[in-house]
Amino acid sequence: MAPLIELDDVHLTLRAPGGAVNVLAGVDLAVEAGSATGIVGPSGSGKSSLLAIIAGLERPTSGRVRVGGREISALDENARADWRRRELGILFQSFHLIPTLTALENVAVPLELAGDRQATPHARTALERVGLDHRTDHRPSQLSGGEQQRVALARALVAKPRLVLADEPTGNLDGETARVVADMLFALPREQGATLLLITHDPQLAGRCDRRVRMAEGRFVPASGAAERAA
Amino acid sequence: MSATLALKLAWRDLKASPNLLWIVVALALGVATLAAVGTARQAVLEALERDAAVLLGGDVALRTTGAPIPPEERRELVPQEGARTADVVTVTTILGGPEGEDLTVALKAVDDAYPLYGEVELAPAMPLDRAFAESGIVVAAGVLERLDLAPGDRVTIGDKTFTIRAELQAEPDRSGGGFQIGPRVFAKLGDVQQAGILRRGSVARYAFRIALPPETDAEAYAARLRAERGDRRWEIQTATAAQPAIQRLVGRLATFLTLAGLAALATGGLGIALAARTHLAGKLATMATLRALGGRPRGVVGLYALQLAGLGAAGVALGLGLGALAPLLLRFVPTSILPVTIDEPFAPAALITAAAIGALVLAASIWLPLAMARRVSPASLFRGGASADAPATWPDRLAVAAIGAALVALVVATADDARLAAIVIGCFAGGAALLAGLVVLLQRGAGRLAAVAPPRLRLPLREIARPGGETTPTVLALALGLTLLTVVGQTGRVIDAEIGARLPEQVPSILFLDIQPDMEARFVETVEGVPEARLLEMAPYLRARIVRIDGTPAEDATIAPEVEWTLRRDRAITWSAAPPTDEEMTAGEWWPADYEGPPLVAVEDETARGYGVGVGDTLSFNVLGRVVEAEIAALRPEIDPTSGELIFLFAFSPGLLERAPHSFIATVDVPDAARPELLDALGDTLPTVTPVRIDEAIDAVRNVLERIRAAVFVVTGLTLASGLIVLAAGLTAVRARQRYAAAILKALGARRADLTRTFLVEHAATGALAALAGVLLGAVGGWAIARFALDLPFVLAGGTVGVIFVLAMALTVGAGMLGLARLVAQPAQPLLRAG
Repeated sequence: MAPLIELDDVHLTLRAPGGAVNVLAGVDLAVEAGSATGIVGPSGSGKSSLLAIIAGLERPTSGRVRVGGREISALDENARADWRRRELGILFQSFHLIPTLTALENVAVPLELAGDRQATPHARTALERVGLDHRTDHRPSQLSGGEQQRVALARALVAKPRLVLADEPTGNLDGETARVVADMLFALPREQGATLLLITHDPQLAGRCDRRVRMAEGRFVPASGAAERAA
Repeated sequence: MSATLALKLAWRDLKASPNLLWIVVALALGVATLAAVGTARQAVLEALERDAAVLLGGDVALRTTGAPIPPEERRELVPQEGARTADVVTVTTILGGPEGEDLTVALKAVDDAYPLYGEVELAPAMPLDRAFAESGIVVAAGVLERLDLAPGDRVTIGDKTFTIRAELQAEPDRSGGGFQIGPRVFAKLGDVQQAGILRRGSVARYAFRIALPPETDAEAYAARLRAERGDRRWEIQTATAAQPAIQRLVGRLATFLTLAGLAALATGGLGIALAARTHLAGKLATMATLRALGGRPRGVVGLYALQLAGLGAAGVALGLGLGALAPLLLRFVPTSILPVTIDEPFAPAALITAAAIGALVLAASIWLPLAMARRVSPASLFRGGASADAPATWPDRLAVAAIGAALVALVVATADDARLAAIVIGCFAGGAALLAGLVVLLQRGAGRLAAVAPPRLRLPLREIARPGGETTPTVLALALGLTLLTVVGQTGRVIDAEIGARLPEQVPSILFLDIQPDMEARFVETVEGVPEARLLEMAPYLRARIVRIDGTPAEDATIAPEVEWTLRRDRAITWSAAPPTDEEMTAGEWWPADYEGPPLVAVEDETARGYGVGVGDTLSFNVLGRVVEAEIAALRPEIDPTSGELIFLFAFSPGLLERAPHSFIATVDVPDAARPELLDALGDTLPTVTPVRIDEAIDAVRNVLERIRAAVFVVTGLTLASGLIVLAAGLTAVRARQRYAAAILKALGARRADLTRTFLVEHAATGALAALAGVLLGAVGGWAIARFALDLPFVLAGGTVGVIFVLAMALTVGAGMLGLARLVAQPAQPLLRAG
């Protein structure tokens, strides 16, 4: 079976006032469909940029990015937006819920963008799955960090995407809350048959992935000690 | 926290917050208006007081209409040694050009002693007596321009030919002559008497002016004259009380403009509140951090209070500086409107008031945002950031209400017309409350609609439905500005409809004055000799002053304010055996055609009610020096000033008055093409009859109205400018929110078109509500002004209202569009990474 994500010699150079910065310096990656992959590495190693490029939020300076057989890096902006809406769920360390909307409304947004008339009932079901059916009318500022991340998880999964990207999803949460969120993060995509690509500093979280890769200075490096496990 | 540290932190923070400069601009605009109006008002009143004698042309003036005060009476009037006197006669007449062309002019005939005070300036410069030598006259620039004449040309007035000697540059007693039709012409009294236009009973106004010796109390002198000779036909004016009309006008105008300035400031206040709220909401985490690091709540909030107050002080200072320069602008006001030269006075009271009002507006605007900041707990840092969503507490709301009450009290206490100020503030507050209610309705409606709307429209609808935020103040500010603009436009339309559209269809084209009794038959004959001309009305005409109302001296009677004007000077009266055709009396009965008893009078209904008299009561008139008491026989229906009929508030039974010197006035309808023929025919047979073209008179009135409207538009524009500042401040807040929402939505798969639609719907709904509410309230306000203040039928200014609506929509949507393309194009990743 062909991999869901294929990265081929991806470079990213950002211009900054102090000069150009090589964020990604030739990244190759293949992720099998239905797997959970953890990317670890020190801050500034290019993990989040890699995720942004896979999400189509950033375009590589050079190289190819294929997801589900489509070359994301060659699509125009609208096509990438449509693709994200259909195929991708995304989770941030800082949750990034829209502060002016309630939990239910936040979860409904991806479906509403797709023109789904059943957006609200589907969003309600998604919130039930993360155990927040009693918090539907609360705004983000009225929710705890763990609850906000569960709302974000419901939002990431509500459109039944093939790929879920998560950037330090438990980085802002305490141990117990982080565990609850992590359990959901691994279980729910799997139930939907979605592929999970995860960035984390947390060795335990990385350890729960089918496969773990390490980044340093904008490229993958061999994992120290623990062997890479095949999916 | 030490004061130095607080200052240092406040300054450092300010440098990073350029949007706060709106606070300076909003306050400066409002305070400048208030300071300018206050300073200008004081400058004008001081100048009026200083130049009072010059403006009146003497310390005391005795005015009559139709005939001068006879010489024997004059001797009794001026018993004092050292007093000087001058005679001035003003009359509307026709000046004939060398090629037979005519121009209606305001002729001022003066004697050798004129002017008692001030100086007449001529070009080329020469003394007045030299200009008058050998039938010379002096004319205003308007005469030279309109008839294409130059000094040296010869013109005719009445039966006499004159030579133009100079152009009039400045007239010291410019304001003394009442309403003026046509440009000014100066001539020697003796020459004008020879021209034959000053027959007894003509519509000339005579002023006998007296310059009293220094140290003489003019008021006491006038009081003595009034007491001793109160029933004489003349009106006594003193220099100190000579300009009540201008003083009243200045007072009224100052009150109106102050209120407009206040509206600008109140609207600006919304902008300040919005800017302060946005600014402080962005600083909540900083405040919580400072608190966590050991800053006391008072010190931390004080830091930002210091910052906002400092900006406010800068705005107030800038406003005061600009306002204090206002007298410089008054120099550009033509002397026809403001007949005095303005010094540059320092008006500390006006500036202090403006500063105090500005400070109170600032305090009211920043209190709630600061209170929100005070409630921030350092613990919020541990809960994922501080929120600005909590509603204001009641003590804070009461504090703002108290500041508002102090503001209203200060404005009402310092206004020239406290009642007017209170009413307008009440209406303003009512309008604002109504608008706030409308905004709440819109938000609820949007919330309900979001549940059932097509999915793609739900997000923008939810943004509108969101409680708090910038929608309410933005809509309020814009709508209030638009309301004022619509009221002005709508009122202009109502007045235009009256004078512009309706009058020319109905009114006669020419009014003829000074038709002497012996000319009556010849006049009718001449008019009938021109086939296209139609004599509409002709009536005997006299001027008389009311001296007693049902036995009570007029000055002691209780008079309704709307008819006070009828007692200020003499009024036109007429007499007739028969009532006007088609007129039914509202009370009593017109006298029989052959009535020969004691004088009866028919009084216009509204005037009689204003005097508190009815059928059977008496009115006493001073007619050319003789007091005539008449019993009220009938009340006539209210006169429609737009009907084109001659307006006489008082019509007498025939008998007594015919014996007094009088003239006739007549209205004639004549098409433009036949007008020269009629005027030529009359010019040949009756050269002293004065035609007044109604369209010229209407133009004169319209000209004054246009200027007032222009002034009001400028001040209304200021309010709208404040509204735009609020819009800008609101947009700043909106943009920060939208930028973040756009980044998230992009990550969730939103296209640029989705984002554009979301934000456009939001702006369009806000703009539509502001525009709709503004023009609707404005139209209602315009209706109220037409109905209750102007007493005119309401005509909807559909075009104006439509244009204001479309412009307001374009403005809000356009402002929303500004930068929207960049906003939706911005990459999402940096914002999400930073978040």
